[in-house]
Amino acid sequence: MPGADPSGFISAVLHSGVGRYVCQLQRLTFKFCKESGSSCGVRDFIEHDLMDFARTNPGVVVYLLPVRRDTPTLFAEYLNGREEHMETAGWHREYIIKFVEHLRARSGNEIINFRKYIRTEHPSIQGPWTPFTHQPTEWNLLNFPHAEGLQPIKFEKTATEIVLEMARAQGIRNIVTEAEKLPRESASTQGIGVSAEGVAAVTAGTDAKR
Amino acid sequence: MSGRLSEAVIFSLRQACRPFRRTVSPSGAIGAVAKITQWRMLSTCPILQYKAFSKYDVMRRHELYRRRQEAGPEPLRHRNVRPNWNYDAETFAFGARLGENTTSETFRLAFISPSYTERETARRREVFEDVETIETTQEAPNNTGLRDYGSQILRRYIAAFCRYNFPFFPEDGIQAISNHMQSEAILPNIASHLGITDLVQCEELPVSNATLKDTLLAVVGALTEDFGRPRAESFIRDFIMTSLLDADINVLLDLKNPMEIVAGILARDSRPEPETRLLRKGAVETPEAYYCIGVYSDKKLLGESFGETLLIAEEMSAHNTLHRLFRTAIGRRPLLLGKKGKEIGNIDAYAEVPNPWLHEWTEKECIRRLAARASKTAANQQLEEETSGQPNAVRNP
Repeated sequence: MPGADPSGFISAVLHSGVGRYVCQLQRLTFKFCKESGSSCGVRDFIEHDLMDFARTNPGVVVYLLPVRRDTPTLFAEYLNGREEHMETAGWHREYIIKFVEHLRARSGNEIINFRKYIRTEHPSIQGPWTPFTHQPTEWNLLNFPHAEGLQPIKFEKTATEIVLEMARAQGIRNIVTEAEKLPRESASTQGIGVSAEGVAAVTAGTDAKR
Repeated sequence: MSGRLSEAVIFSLRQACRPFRRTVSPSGAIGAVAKITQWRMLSTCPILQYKAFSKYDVMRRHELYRRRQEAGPEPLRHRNVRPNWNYDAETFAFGARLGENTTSETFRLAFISPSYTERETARRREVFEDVETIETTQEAPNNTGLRDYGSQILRRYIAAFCRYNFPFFPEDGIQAISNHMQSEAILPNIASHLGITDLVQCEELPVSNATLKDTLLAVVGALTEDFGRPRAESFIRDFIMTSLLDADINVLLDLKNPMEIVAGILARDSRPEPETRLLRKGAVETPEAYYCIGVYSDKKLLGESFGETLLIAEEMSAHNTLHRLFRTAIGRRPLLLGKKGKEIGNIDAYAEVPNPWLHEWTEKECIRRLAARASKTAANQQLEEETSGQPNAVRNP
């Protein structure tokens, strides 16, 4: 999409870190003025921190480029061939330390919006999913459509069942249900009459009165 | 690679952009952060009034843009033409970055390509036309010798590394991996990401892939010459073999008629020939049809896979059978790289004893060769202990 922010996935340059870690910053150039006030922080940095930086990072070549009355600038060159530059006019020493560290720790790739914070070249070690993945092995021997397979997995007591139980507990005998339409009830409702109307119903006391 | 602008052009462009400089940040997000801090520092000052565009500014910018277009792109120049360049510091940093010491003369030679010496010799001949000095008659040294040495070391290590990691993979596949790893698809990329592009001395610009590849090989050769083979092998493992993570080794071993190969392997093992069975199918009448086919021999499942037609599913299942036989199916043990890569000790045994070729491949033969390598390693160790008087592990912990 033209004009959109560059986006992509997280990556390590040349699998850095799988074998050895390689600092991707290869060159750092400080352009500064020896006199002007805007370069004051850079001069402080050079005086106090630069030797430590060079000692701890022997893989980074540091160049000092004194120029007269020009904007002090930090140029960073990375192993992937890209360059970054930052104008450091008016920056104080702590601020330069912070951004030198930022440049050192970068991979040199363009800063992009990560679509995800993880990335893998091997999404699965078990193979692609198919509709038959993790199918129960006992199904191999069944003939489909299988009656047990058509049942819901879990039952809870229905309101009808609760009422029927209560009725039985009270000793009411003439309970009318439709057993054929409720096959799962057939075992428990043996011996109970079947109504012609269809809907399960409890007609407590009415038959007794008749 | 983009060209650098000349100083004059930079100056004129900067002049053109001067009214923008406080408002437009040249380095994107970071620049913007810096600018905000500047604002904070300036917060005690009254707010700055920026100059508006005058019609002359607009005209001048148009003119400068036209001139820039007319001048065309800047020619590509070598990094060493810039003032911030010190070759000694660069070679030192090159080694320090990789954890090696590369300041010796050997490495200086490794970066000199034949094209550079040819040009230098021709130039000297021109300068000393009538004077036959010793220097001009001598053969100028270049990195061809180191390159050949490094190439030999690399080829040997790649084969040993692959045989160690895939002891059941046929030798055809090992050779395919070896060719892939030494090709111009892999080595120049590694060379440029190690910073060799700026250091190599050659005539052409931009540096060609062949030169980059040769220089990387010469660096390997120089490492071997200065520090011995184990150090060079460690370098190869850490910087070159990691590229194998991107490659699919089953694709590199490009097999035609996989079912015939399965049949051949079973015949050599005197097992019954393979049978394919349709295990499952679904959505048959739809564009997303699914057939799962298993390959059996003597009622034992050797491999199974699926496809959208019966033919594709059969071929896929034959491939899966081969992957299972070669121990290269997905979910295999990961490559031994990094610290774990140090486990690969018996390079000689693995380099000398190849895996069986595809036309003679049997599982028993692979196991037999693993045993042969183990005995060879034991014999080598014993020999070393006898010659040195103490076990190898103590000398090289």
